[in-house]
Amino acid sequence: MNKMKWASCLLLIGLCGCSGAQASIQNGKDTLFTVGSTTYTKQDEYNLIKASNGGALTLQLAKNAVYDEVIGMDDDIRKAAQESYDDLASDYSDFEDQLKQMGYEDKDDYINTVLIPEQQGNRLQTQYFKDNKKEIQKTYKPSIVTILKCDDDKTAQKAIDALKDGKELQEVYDTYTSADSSFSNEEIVCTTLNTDIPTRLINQAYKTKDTGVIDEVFTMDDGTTYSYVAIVSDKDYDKNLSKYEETISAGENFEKEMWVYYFTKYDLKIYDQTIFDYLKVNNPEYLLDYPELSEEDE
Amino acid sequence: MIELLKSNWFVVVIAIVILSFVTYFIFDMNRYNVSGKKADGQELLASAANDNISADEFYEEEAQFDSSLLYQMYKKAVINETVSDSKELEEKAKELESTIRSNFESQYGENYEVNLSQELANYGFEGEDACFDFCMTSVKEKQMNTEFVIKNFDTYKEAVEQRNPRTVSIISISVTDSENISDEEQKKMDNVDKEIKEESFGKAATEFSEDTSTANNKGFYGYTDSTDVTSTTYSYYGTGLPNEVASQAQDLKKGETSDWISVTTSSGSTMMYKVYVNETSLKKLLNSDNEDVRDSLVSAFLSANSTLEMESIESYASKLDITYKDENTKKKIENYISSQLKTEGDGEDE
Repeated sequence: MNKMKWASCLLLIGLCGCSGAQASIQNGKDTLFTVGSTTYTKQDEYNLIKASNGGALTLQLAKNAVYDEVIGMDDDIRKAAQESYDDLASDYSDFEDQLKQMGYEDKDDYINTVLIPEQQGNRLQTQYFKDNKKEIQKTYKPSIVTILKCDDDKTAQKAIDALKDGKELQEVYDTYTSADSSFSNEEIVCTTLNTDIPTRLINQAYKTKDTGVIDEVFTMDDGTTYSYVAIVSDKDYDKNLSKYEETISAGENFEKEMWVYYFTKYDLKIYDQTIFDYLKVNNPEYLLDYPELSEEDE
Repeated sequence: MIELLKSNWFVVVIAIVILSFVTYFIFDMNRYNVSGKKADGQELLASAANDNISADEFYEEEAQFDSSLLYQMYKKAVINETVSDSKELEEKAKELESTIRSNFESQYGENYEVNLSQELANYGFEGEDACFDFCMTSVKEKQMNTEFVIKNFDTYKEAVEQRNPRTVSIISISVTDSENISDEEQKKMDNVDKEIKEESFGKAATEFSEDTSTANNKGFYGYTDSTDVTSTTYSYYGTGLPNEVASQAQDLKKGETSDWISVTTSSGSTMMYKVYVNETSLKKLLNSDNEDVRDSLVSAFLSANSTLEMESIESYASKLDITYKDENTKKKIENYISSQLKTEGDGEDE
């Protein structure tokens, strides 16, 4: 019977479940102020800040740590941050006073807290295109192409033949392009983000080793008769990095992908349940030890 | 023992199944519980790139922007120290809590609790009962503001009087085309006019009005003022007072009834309205038996006098014993209050 009681107690303890850890501050018992019989301590205030904004703010601090590790600090960054401040301040006669009212100590505090991380963030994005080159190429299949959109496959084939015969692009464009085409005769960055270009064209433009016209007529899967011709002008990833960055960074999932890469590389770990719960709802992809959470989210 | 197990094998199987479920349940409850960590004596929130993000570092960074939050904590304490709990307030708070939860759930889905907790924390509420505590404080604050408005009526009435406040009653009849009223529709409208003339607006509303939200209450709609009238033309979506009716109500004296007003709804149908002004005296409206009218009027006082809410809190705070152990906190709260009063005073109400 005693054994049964012990077993029941252990079971109850297990059933209650231990709640996750909540990180506390030192000196949390220090009183801030008292109103009548109500006393507020530093811990009370800290709990509120953590509950209202803790997830987003902790994430930002983690990002800052990655910035410092990957990008660091140099004179160029400081100079760019100062220029950014000067630009903002030029619109207001009392910008520094406004910052102080918001809670910043002074302009340097604002530059260090906001503008320098902003500059580091810009540089991190460019660095990401170098650090994760293979995966970015695999995911986005970038290339530099000129697209001709023709009314049908016969017209598209004529355009291909004309280009192979050495006709000038402008002449071929003027002769064979559909009146409904939204493509100019200029080069564009072609990636898997383009929903107005046939998927096969994107894949072939990426795979082809040579530049020049691809000897294939491409069509969309939407049932329209339009046909497409692709002229690949460049395949060099490193040479076109800034163009690829401008296009690919505008993608919906880009920022998430970048941060999953860096948080994996630099081992983001969460030790507080409130922060964890925030990320579980808002950014499950950053909870790297729980990949099933981001799969559920999809 | 083995013989016992053999003879009770079915019970054993059931026990194993139950134990498995319980074990899985416990595992499932705890699998997303994180473990804490300390470094250099400080408890950590997170770590990345060989950098530890401690709770103290986080608090130090964010506390510099805490003026608004400190004020919310202060305000919450003033309200709860001034107004005692009561069964009546508790009932109202529960109703409000149910509405808030329902609204958050429809906006955020099944994970709404996290978003709700974040929002409540901005107002100084956290923990398991945060939502109920917020609602309780809100209903207490409403009571406090009502008492303050009544006590200081003469100080704040002018801004509200400028809005032409009144209570009104309405009658509505549906028609196919307001430019070509059919005989049947005309008969309905004539019946309304006759009943108003011979009996009263209220009786006419009870007998003939097709507005289901007011007909059973003698057509009584409630409070309206000039802020219900907009200059933009828009279709009536079915809630509140139609713009055309609110506008007409502004031009009537107490006891007057409008002519028929044509209103086109967002669904394309046409309603014909009549509006009657019940009361225009601000004092009488404030002393109304109708709680909704009193609440609407207090809201009007608050929105017409932008510093009223803060002055109300300060007047009750002055009666309480407030001590600051941290000078910086005192400075932040006092600066926040004076900057809000200064800003709101400068941008005086329309």
